Amino acid sequence: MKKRALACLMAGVLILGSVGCGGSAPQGNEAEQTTEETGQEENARNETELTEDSASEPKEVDWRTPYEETVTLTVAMESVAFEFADGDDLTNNIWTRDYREKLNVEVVTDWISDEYDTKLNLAIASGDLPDVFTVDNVQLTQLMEAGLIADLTDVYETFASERLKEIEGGEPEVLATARKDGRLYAIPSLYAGYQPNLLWLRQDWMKELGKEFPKTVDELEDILTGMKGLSQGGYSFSTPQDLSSLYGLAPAWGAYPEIWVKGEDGNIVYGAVAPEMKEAVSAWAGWYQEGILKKDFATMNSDAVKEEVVAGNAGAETYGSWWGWSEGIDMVKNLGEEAYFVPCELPTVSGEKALYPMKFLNERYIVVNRDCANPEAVIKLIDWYVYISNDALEDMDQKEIELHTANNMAHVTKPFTVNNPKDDYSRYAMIAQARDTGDRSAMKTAIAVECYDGAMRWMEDKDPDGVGYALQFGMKGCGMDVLTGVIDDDRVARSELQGASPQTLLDYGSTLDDILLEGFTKIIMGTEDIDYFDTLIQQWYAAGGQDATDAVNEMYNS
Amino acid sequence: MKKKRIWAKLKNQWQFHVMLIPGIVALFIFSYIPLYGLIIAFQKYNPAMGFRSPWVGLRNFTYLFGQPNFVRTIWNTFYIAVFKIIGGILVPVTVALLLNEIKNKTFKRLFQTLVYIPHFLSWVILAGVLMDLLSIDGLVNQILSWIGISPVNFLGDPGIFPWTMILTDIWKGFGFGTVVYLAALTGIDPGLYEAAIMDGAGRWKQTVYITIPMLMPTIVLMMILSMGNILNAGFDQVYNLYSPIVYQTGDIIDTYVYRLGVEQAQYAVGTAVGLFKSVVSGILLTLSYYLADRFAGYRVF
Repeated sequence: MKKRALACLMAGVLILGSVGCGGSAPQGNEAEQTTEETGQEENARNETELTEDSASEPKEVDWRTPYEETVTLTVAMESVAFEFADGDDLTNNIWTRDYREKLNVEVVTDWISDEYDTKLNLAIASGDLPDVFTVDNVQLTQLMEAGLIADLTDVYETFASERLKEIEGGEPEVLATARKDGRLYAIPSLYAGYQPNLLWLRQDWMKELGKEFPKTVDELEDILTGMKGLSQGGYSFSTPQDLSSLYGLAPAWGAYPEIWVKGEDGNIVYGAVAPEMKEAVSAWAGWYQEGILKKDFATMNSDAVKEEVVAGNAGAETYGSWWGWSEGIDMVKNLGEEAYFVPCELPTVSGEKALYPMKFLNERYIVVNRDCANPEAVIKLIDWYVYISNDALEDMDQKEIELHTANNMAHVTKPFTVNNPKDDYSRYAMIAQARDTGDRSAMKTAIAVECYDGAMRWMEDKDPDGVGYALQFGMKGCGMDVLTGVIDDDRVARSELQGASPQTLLDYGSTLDDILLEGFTKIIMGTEDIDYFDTLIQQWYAAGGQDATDAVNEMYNS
Repeated sequence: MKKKRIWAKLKNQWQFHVMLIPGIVALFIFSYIPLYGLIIAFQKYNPAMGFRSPWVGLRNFTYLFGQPNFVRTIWNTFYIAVFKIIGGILVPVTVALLLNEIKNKTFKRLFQTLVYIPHFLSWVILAGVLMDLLSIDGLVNQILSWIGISPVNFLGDPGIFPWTMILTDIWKGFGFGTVVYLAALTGIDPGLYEAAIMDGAGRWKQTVYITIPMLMPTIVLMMILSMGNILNAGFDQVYNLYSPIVYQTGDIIDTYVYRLGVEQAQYAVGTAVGLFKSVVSGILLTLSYYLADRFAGYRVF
């Protein structure tokens, strides 16, 4: 800490010195400085150059212009399973070489941890923060209040590429949560597309039963009852103890357990305590009685559920469009090439098309340390990531871009990652066109080509490693195909809470949801009867649900 | 007069007191200075502001006790912890007494080692093993079905879950306790037994009138030490094995607080709970020490 303060002081002195002496900074007497301090010194000088530049030509700044002298940024990262090319590592890989060669920025990893948030909270508490890191919304609020992070309003205006501004501008509610008093303090990382849960059914069992995709809940029940007989586990619909798979199906009954909805009286209420939920829970209790759900599902976590599915014990669940990646590959390897799930739309009680829930989706924000000398370098690196993932195919060839993204390499770019939420949908549109017309030139981004080729590996050669691509992006009727239909009809129920959560709600942690989870599980397993639902809802309101509901209404319903 | 004696003692034993210094310094640095951090229990703590965060008085405590489900977690914690403590003394003492009667040294050593092993495994690993063993179609239920008992949902039945916790914890820990009591047994003066044999005492009488009374100080010491843990029912164990269906009887203070706020870095509430637990444990520790002195004539100092 002391060292850093000293370094800053020296950097400050140097700025004054270089301005005063017309740039002839003294070199001789700094022979004993550490590398960190040298980095700071250079940063400081670059900054003076830049401010001089922008003073003469304020609008004509191109983010691609490399620095004349190397700028160093320290970062913190969450560990992900990276698969580096031979000889590469975290400090020397295709992305860090890009940063160095194209922009003359050196990225130094301050620390990397698989307990990222815990470690970051400690770093915040001790004040020993890297230059750039990502935070969640609670941490963002804390850092803004404490004034520990840099105001990015001006550097964002000046250095953000057109594409970055277009992507961030497409999400005004998200961007609003990164502002305080009209100033921008963070760049939202955004999210990889809107991905509601779909219904996934085991396709070989569907064929064996001779069934079509269900339109109504009754048809679904029929299928599930049939699948019970084919399953080794003796049940058919799989859900972990957090009920996520059942919650995913709740829109079938018009219930939205995880978002805030407008009630009939115009007030915002929590979806899980709305009357529709009672019907859903009551139906699930019936399923448990009939053996459609596993007897002891209530003790199984999501890993255990995955094992069950891969072992062929279940035939249905709700899941995001990436099911093929998380369970499909293992399942096909384990049970043969016909044993996989296919996605379809949720059925509904009435047979009308379902409406899908949409939460507030942004989770991470990129923030810059107040003491960082070159905040604009951060924007430039984000620009580079956005360029590679959206526009690079104009200038580079496919192979080269794939080196940046394949094998999880795109995660090496954290914390400089901004996702394009519309990417999944535009990608699928291009892939579908290429698939249907046979014209590969329809695909304008590298990631689209990668997904297409990956899907072909499964569809033509039955290579199990292509299952993820095929079921998400490749096949007719794949996850993104179904979702495109949902988006085209705009069948989306947006949560009324689109932005920051009120503090009152955050203070309750997950305890409010836990009350419902415990109660619903009891009703489903038959230890309480369905009338208990009303008691449970009263308990929920008394335990703080009322407070939280009032706070949400105050914030979003005025 | 008294003062003089202390000085005389010091003069005689000053070397020992000097040797105490490093320990006291370490204790001071690592156990007393951090007590300062307790002030965040009374603040709206923002890690980025540190100890300069705004004061909120007792708000963190009233908030916690205002939670309707918090009180039941105190009861659950107490229930599980008390039976763990009782079982954690009874079982090792019994096993140690039995082992002590065994003359075959190889068997004795082998048994001692085998029961000691689970003590070294962490709950994360054991939880995975137990979940497989205790599930509806797991090994234990299969064995039960051979003798005609219908499957028991050890981890999913609120009535049974606390006992699953208590028994598996005792199973994990009794090897360690056994070693402690065996060590105490070897310290008993053989002369006592010889005298008893002369007087015609059999094995049973020797155990009741010599072994158990001689073990009593160790048992009381272990009991007093475990009183400090009366509000620790074992976070790692419960967290890795519980699920919403057993919150009613299995949710303990630590797991509840974890879900309430620690997941979201609400350190203030976490510290408030820690302080509460320390105060309760402190009172119980003092009380049990007093009672042990009063009724068993046992003192540490």
